[in-house]
Amino acid sequence: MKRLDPANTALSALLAAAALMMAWLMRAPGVEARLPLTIERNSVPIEQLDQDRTVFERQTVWVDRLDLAHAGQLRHPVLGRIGPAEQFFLDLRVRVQVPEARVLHFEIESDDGFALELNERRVCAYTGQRGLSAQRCRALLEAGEHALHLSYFQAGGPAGLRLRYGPSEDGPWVVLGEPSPWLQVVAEPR
Amino acid sequence: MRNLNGAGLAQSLRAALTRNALHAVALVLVCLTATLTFGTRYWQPESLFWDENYHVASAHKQLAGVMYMENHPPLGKMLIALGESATGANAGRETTALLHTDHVSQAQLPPGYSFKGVRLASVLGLILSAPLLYLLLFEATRSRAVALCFALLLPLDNAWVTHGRAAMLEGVQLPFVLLALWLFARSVRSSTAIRLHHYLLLGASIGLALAVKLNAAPLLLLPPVLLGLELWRQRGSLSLLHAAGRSVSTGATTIVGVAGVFFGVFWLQIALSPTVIDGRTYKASPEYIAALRQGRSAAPSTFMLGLRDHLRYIAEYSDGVPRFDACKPGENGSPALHWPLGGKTINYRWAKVEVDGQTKVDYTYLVTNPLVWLPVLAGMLLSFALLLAWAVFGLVPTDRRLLGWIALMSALYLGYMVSMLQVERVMYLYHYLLPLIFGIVNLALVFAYVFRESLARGDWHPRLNLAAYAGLVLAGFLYFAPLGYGWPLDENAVERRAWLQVWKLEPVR
Repeated sequence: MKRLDPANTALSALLAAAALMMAWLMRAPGVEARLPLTIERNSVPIEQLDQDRTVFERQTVWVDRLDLAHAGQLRHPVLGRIGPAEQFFLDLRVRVQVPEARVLHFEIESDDGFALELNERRVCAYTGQRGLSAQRCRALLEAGEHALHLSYFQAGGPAGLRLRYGPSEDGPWVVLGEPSPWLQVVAEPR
Repeated sequence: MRNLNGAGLAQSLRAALTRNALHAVALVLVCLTATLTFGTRYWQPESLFWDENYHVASAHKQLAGVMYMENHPPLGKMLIALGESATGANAGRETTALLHTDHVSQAQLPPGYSFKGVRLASVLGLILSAPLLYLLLFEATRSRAVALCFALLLPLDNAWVTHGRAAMLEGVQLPFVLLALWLFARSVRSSTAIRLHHYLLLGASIGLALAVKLNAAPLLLLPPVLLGLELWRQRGSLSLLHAAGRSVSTGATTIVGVAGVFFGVFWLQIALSPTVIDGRTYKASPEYIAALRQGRSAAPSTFMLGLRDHLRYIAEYSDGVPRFDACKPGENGSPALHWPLGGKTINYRWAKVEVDGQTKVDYTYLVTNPLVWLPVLAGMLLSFALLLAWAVFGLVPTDRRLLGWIALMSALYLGYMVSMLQVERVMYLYHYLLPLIFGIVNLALVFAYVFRESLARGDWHPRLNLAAYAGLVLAGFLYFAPLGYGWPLDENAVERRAWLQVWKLEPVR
């Protein structure tokens, strides 16, 4: 068998490495679709969360975890920026499974306002405009499925949204969407 | 014996036909690629961007015979005007406003203004450049496969494509640069004696390149190298007197070629621009203006006055351009040392569009194809190392001819970059497009040098590597193409394309 020329083989290896690197750089980023975010652009400036919505554009973006406060933007670490720059509402409606009855603590960081509802009861909210700030609340949840609804709005300027939960005020804290022994998001068809 | 000769002749003929057919196929492939990438809907976007604001105004002045001055010699604008005249793209449209300004705004263009004419010279120049690059590479490397692969780098480079599909000067200049290099390559063929007409043609082609932009000055290195090579070949039978005499005659011939074309272009432009618009006399002297108003634009005395004033304008223009300011918000300029890596990209133009209810942006963004630019840089570093090893460490070259070519391309590249580093005014990424061509030729030469034996044997392996590299370049081109062709992208898609920080590639937010 004819021996391969070392210089040509080295170049082939270099080209193969370049091809792999390109494929990695060019890949379309993707994450597991667990949380559907409904984004609604509002045609008039948003002052606060509960105002009447005048929606002119709606889209749904799926993310794996609700960790969207990066670089002063509503930004996912892998998917990049989520939604437009300003004047939009965002809603997350999912069912969550709690294995056993317990008090769960929630921490929501938002810029601008938000409201967290569990089983259609508001447990935590800041409905006006603000810079990125955290707010904590707690709820007693029976074992079984519960409806979780998080609504949020971005008026202008920087943005961000993150929801974490845990079994006590001292943590540990888990970002919504990540698996934990205390709460799990019920998968729904995309 | 007669039969054997006949068979041999037929075999030679068949081989020659095959060679020519392969050449033809390669040339068709290169031309087709260039026509597709440079020519497809080149009139889009239908709005001015970057220096088009200046060059379109100058081209219309040229067409109307109005005297104007510019910071570059006039051939580029004259050819842009020729494209407009040949297509008649805006015949019947009111373009008088363009004669009264040097920086035309979009609002000053008449409704429905077409860019088919003013962008034609650059697009045609680049379509012509691709086969010229192939011919040059074949002359230099004597390998069709190498020439084909590396000639494709020009039409598959996103920076050249974006910048070339515009009424700008680099695309108009490139065929003249490549013509000069190809003429040089033909002249140094070992089978032909170097004659005076070689110097004349070489000088004339350099003159054409200089008459578009003065940055082609490093090409002035070619005639002395040609002379040196000629004298080296005759070193056995050469007397000092003959060498001196030959230097004078070839020098004079070259000067006639360069100066004849360069000043001839100026004479033509001055002669064809006799109308002076009140208040738009630039830095023209009263004598020059008076001569034009007296209808003596084609007279030798007017040419002398006009040439002096035009050259003074060019010299003084650069002094008025601001320096590079890294702290300036939105600075588009970049230091020359960043160019080989592709920094800094320039967002020439953008427009927000709604696509399926989502806001996206279509861009005309000057970005590189890193699969072209980074290997070019690697090729330059490799060739410097090779030359250093030869000059300092006594490496015995395995192919003197190729090493000589590598030395020439390295000198052209280095000469250009060193001169750019001396420039104080702000410079931009597209000022690297010309040395990039030297770098592409150099990369092909380095490849041919390193793999000369397996190429000569007709092995499949180097050809497979060339095909694989061309495939990667094509993939890179397609990936970055949306930024140049104005195909709508969202913010994340742009961010994903920012492979290197030095590019400073940013989406419109």
